[in-house]
Amino acid sequence: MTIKKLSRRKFIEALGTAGAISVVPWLPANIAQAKSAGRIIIVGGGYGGATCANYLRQYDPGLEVVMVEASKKIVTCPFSNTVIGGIYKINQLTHGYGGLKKNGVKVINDLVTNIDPSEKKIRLKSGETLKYDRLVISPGIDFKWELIDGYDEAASRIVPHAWKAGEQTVLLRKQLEAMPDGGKVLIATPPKPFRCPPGPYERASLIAHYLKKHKPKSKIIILDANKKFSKQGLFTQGWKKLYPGMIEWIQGSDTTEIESLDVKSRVLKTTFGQTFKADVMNVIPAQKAGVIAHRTDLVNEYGWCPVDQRTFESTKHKHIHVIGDASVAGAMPKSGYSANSQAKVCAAAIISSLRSVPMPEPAYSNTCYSLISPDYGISVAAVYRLKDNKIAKVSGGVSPTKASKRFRRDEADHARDWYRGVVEDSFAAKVKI
Amino acid sequence: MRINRVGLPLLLLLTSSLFMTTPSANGIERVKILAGNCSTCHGPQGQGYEVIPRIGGLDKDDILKLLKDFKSGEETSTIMDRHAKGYTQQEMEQLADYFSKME
Ligand SMILES: Cc1cc2nc3c(=O)[nH]c(=O)nc-3n(C[C@H](O)[C@H](O)[C@H](O)COP(=O)(O)OP(=O)(O)OC[C@H]3O[C@@H](n4cnc5c(N)ncnc54)[C@H](O)[C@@H]3O)c2cc1C
Ligand code: HEC
Repeated sequence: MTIKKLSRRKFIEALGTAGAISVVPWLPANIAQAKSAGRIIIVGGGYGGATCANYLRQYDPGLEVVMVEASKKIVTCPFSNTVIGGIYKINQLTHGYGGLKKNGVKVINDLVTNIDPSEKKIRLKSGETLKYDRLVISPGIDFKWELIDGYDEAASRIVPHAWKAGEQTVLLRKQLEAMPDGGKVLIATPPKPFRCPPGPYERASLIAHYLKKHKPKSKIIILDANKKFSKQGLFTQGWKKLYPGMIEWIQGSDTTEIESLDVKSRVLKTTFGQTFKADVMNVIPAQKAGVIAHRTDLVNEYGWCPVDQRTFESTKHKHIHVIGDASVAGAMPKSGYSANSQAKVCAAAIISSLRSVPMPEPAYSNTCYSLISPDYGISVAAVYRLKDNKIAKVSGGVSPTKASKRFRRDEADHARDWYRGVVEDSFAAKVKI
Repeated sequence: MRINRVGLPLLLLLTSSLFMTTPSANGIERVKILAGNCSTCHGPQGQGYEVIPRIGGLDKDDILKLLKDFKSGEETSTIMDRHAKGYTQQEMEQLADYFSKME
């Protein structure tokens, strides 16, 4: 092989697979040391933001990485359904940022109120402003409250959504504990796309797990906004086996939406004229990218952030990358695992760009485990690549429909290990479950 | 620009050395991106947890054989088949090499 026959890029790729070649001694130190100059600011310390900060520092320990997160501690949505089902306590899902700080990430506990893409600076609630060379935002979701008459942030303190973990999760748990045997629980799901597609059905399962033991005459209704749902066959099979007659699923249609909600009387009305009343209600509203993305004009007509799916750089503003739930990421679902995977690709893209070298060809991945009971787990998994500039699935699928008890139990064990793994990988924190 | 007889090889040597330095010193190895797809379950060091096995520090050939067998179905698994099918033979070799070198 001669150099002439290969393009520079191909040549570099060929070298990459041939193995590392040591630094030539006469090169100036700034080239040899592989440092990328610049400050990278990350907005949001959830799954996407924390992983990105962690991996930027891992890929380049010389980099200045600043992460701004509104909360002192993170309470993870993954596994929060186990708190609602009475299996774990909320403090077991609460993690600090000590590990990230140890890895050299500067963590600022504040709210980002403004981003100025032309000046490349952000403003914090405290009044401070900070300049960046590259900005990553992973603000998660916010709700389209305006779509349901009578439902807003204040009303959600009576009828919880529990779609952001923490107080909301605990509130829903307390309401279930207070409900008498024979009570009715209603879960209203949001229209697609929403964070964690199997989440509402895992929630119904783990509520059923609690009710079966403690309030066996009770019922659960899932009022679905959609015609079908994630891992539907597997969930339905599991419900029949473990909770026969307890969970009723009401299929959605194109024409029916929730029209209004009276949180005081717990009465919900649909645009089709149906009325539902329940003892415990969990209404999960339609979703959009976190508000800071809207304020920065990073969103499309549906309220999500379009990006170059190779680098996650916004197609609306240069030098701002959007990852996690807020981004439009091809075939990847909005999950913590997806956000973690996107964050690593994004970190590699940013460092490559700062060093003016081609980024490695990306590969992405996702797995969503769901617990139907503590001993009954199911999953959906995929590996993705870039095809025609879109993230497309290349392998994967759901757990087999025909499987032994042992198989389901193994997947439930794997789900708990996955949680230990993803928290350590994203937040550099150890899980005690 | 005219390059004399001595200059050409020297220039080639210079530029090729520069290129050679680029990937090791400046680029991010692709295998790190691939391995990032494994650490969420197997841990950042491939150390494993209560039931998901350790893969860091295993023998390279053993890892490679397991990955190939998960992909073909020869080795039974709950989830590794669905992941292994997403990688080429060459990528599996890179992954096996990478994890075999971990503590
Ligand atoms: C019930 C439930 C169960 C789930 N289970 C799973 C599961 O089993 N597996 C899985 O993979 N996923 C699961 N998910 C989905 C997962 O929680 C999300 O996909 C994931 O959190 C997305 O990561 P993110 O970084 O985009 O957002 P988040 O993790 O929500 O992080 C966003 C962070 O940004 C901060 N922030 C926002 N705006 C600002 C600002 N202006 N200034 C400062 N900080 C700001 C917020 O405080 C927040 O901490 C579940 C979700 C729910 C609701
Ligand atoms: C979603 C979780 C998950 C992900 C992601 C994952 N694994 Fe696994 N891995 C498992 C589980 C669970 C097993 C046990 C076999 C099974 O049930 O599938 C396993 C087994 C293995 C084994 C066999 C170890 C032994 O000694 O038996 C190897 C090797 C392996 N994985 C490598 C990888 C590599 C490489 C990747 C990334 C490309 C990866 N795994 C990604 C969950 C995962």
